[in-house]
Amino acid sequence: MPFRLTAPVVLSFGEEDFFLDRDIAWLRQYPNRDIVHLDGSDVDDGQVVSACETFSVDFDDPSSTKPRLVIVDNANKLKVDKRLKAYLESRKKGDLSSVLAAVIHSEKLPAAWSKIDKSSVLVREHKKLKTWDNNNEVVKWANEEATRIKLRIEPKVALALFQFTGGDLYRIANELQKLSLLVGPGKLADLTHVQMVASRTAGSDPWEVVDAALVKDRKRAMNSLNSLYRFASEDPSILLVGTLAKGVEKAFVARSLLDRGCQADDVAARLGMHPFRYSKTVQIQAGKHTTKSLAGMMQKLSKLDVEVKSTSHRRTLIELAVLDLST
Amino acid sequence: MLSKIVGQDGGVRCLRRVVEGKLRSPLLLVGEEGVGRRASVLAAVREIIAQSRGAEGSAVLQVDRGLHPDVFVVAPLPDKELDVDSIRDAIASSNQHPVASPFRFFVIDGADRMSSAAANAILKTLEEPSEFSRFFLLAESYDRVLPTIRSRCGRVDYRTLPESFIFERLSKFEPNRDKALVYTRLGEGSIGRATRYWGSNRIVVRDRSVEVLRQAATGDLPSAFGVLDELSKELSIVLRMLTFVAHDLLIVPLAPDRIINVDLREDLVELQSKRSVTVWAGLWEALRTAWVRNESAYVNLPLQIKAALVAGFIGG
Repeated sequence: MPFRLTAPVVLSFGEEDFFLDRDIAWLRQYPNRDIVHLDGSDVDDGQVVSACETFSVDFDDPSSTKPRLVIVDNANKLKVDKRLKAYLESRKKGDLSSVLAAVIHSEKLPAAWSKIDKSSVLVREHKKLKTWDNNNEVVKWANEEATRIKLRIEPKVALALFQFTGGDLYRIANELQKLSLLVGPGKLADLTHVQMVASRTAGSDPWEVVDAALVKDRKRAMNSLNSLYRFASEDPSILLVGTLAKGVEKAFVARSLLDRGCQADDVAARLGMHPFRYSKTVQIQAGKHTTKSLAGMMQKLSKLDVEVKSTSHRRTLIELAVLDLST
Repeated sequence: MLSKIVGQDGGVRCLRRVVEGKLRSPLLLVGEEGVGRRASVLAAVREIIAQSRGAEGSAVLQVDRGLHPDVFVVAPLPDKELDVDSIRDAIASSNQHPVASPFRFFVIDGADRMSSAAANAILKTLEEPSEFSRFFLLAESYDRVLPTIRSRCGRVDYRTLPESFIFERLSKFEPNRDKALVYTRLGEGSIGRATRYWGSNRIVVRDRSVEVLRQAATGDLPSAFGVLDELSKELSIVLRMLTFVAHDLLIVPLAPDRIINVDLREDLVELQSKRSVTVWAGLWEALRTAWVRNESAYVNLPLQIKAALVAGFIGG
């Protein structure tokens, strides 16, 4: 059991949808509760309060009523107005006769929710797992998930799954389930098993291509580009040109500012980035180029922007541009 | 009335023949926006309605107010294609008898911006228009009109208007003569565009565009990009303004009276001195290329403008 309902209001929030969905799935199975599931984009605050204040009657045994658990998914899209505010303020710490679980798909708690009395709230924050750091949190989580489903895995298996799936937690959880079925409970899964069950559908993120190209990692750039074309639901060419343009522009701005003697923190601020993130991405990219080479690349991309919209050989043009940038 | 249309003798002559009943085929009126195409067509329509038997003065007023039951004006929304539904509605109406005038008039503004479905839908109607309908298609670019539509219409070219004419009109609203002249020249021969720019105070965007060039000229392209990002909703206008200013920077030492932004003459001379003529020529060419690309296709405008600035000031 991941957590118990100990407060009349549960706030589950963060950017990692996998964990939010898992909270919802678990709440929906909470025992001895009359469960109502609402979507914040479809209801208003009055309907949420009504759902919380209504009790279902068991017609077989009208004398007993189950306490309610109202789950509101996408609560960040719900406008918290007077009625809901008054309801939330009226909830007392130990009163679990009706529990409201708000699932908020947002990095931070919206003001209306964060103002609720802390003693009557159970907060569950799910931060985005970091993958760019040396301590890859997705790999760490994959190991924990394997333990949770009682699957023993070799140390390199979690990393292999991360590389195969591009860090998609839904897919990693799915692959672990498949491994568990293949090797059986309590048995050890190794890389051979991973190759047997896992489908190689690495991340289809255009930024991955841009980053690899700008740090001149030609092999990674071409592999990422290949994955992108292979697994994207629609032709990613135009999106890629736009992403390449943004990436090159950022590197150009950083390179220009660094050449003029700006400090790294100032450059990060000018780009609207956190200094740590900047130091791990744009700073490294800018270090591999000169202002002149990036200026030339911007011009080539402006030409490519027109060409990809009027040719059937889009992929070839993009591949040539990525090769050019990463060489 | 047609006699009040100024500077478009060819168009007026042609429409006069329509009024006299000597010309019945669909017409394709080609010219820049705001040079008087729609105004002259509606003037011709008013004359036809006024001459018809039993017509009342109120019928002409209805045309002016867009309420006449036999006058249909179809136009696309700004920056959008003319969709097939609007054209189908017009086609359906063209098969009905007129209610309060001798003909049903259809003014289709944006014949060069029709979706392919819309263009194909109207072909048959243009080939054999009903006896009671008169079609006027308006386009800014003749080349962008479908060839099959072009072949079914008589072409009437509308010229850009003389600067003196636009300036005289604008001076009635704008007391500052320099500003009136700037808006006149920004209109490029179109009184419609000049008054639209004047009405929406586009000179503010022009000033921000000069700021972009000033920063870029001192080598601070990151700051120039920052200003462009702030103007992200008006980049199409910004590109126009940048091109005009770059043009001025090229000619200001030679012909200061011919520049567009006459109110900034001294600032432009100072800015011009910061870089060589070769740089300004390169910049103007790069901006023109971006402009042409933007006119001919849907492009990533922030990229096009920034790449043009980079090409002008750094090369590549």
